[in-house]
Amino acid sequence: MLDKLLSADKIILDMKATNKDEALKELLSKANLPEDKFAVVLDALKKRESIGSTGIGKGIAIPHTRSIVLDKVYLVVGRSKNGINFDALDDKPVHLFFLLCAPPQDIGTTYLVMLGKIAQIARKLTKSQEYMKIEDPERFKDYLVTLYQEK
Amino acid sequence: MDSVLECLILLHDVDTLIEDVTSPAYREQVGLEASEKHLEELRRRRDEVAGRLPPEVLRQYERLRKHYRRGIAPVIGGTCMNCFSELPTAMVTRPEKNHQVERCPSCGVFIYWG
Repeated sequence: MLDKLLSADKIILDMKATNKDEALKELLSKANLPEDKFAVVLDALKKRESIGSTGIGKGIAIPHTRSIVLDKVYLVVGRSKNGINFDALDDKPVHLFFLLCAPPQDIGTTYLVMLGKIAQIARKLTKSQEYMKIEDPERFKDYLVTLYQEK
Repeated sequence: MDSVLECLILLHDVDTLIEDVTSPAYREQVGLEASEKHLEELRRRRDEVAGRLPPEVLRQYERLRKHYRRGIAPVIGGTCMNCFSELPTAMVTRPEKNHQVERCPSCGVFIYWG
């Protein structure tokens, strides 16, 4: 799943954002959506954040949403070396983001399963700081895929 | 884009969000949950968006949502993503899309041309 969903051009290894709003915008900009769709999806992401941060702690956040204006699933991964205040559960700055945006057609739970898998990878990532050292997007993707496939 | 259609899209996205975060699968799979206080605030904002719709459109939206779990669906490749029927050629080939509120002739859901 991750292999197909994530491409190296959707990985930002040196995010410029310094706050939550900027982070969401920077991540979503990688989806290359037209302006009107970008605004709708950004609004939906902010609404999701308004009911509790998706910063799950230990430097990782999984902002996510579904919107009718999307025609496919977008996964964007972003890394911030300085860390960004994302109101994470442990109040620590977030260094790694997984942005998942999906269309609403899937009325079942595929989207939630996908989100769950990403949460699993995120939790595995917290066991090492290796993800802070990789400087090549292709290698970064390979690293994530390996973690995903690990039992 | 038509302003009523824009409102329907916002309402749909908030409804999807509420449905997602209140589902047991969300808590189990993702491990995140929203507090009742925050959910209340979200429902209040949902009502605000709903209040901007003409009453008749809102009534139809709610009725469709009850029936199909969605009041609006995207049209992709000329197919309604709610009932998967192909829309009439006259609708599909019309150049101006999303400039008026339209419904699928088969199932009646409001449509958004994706």
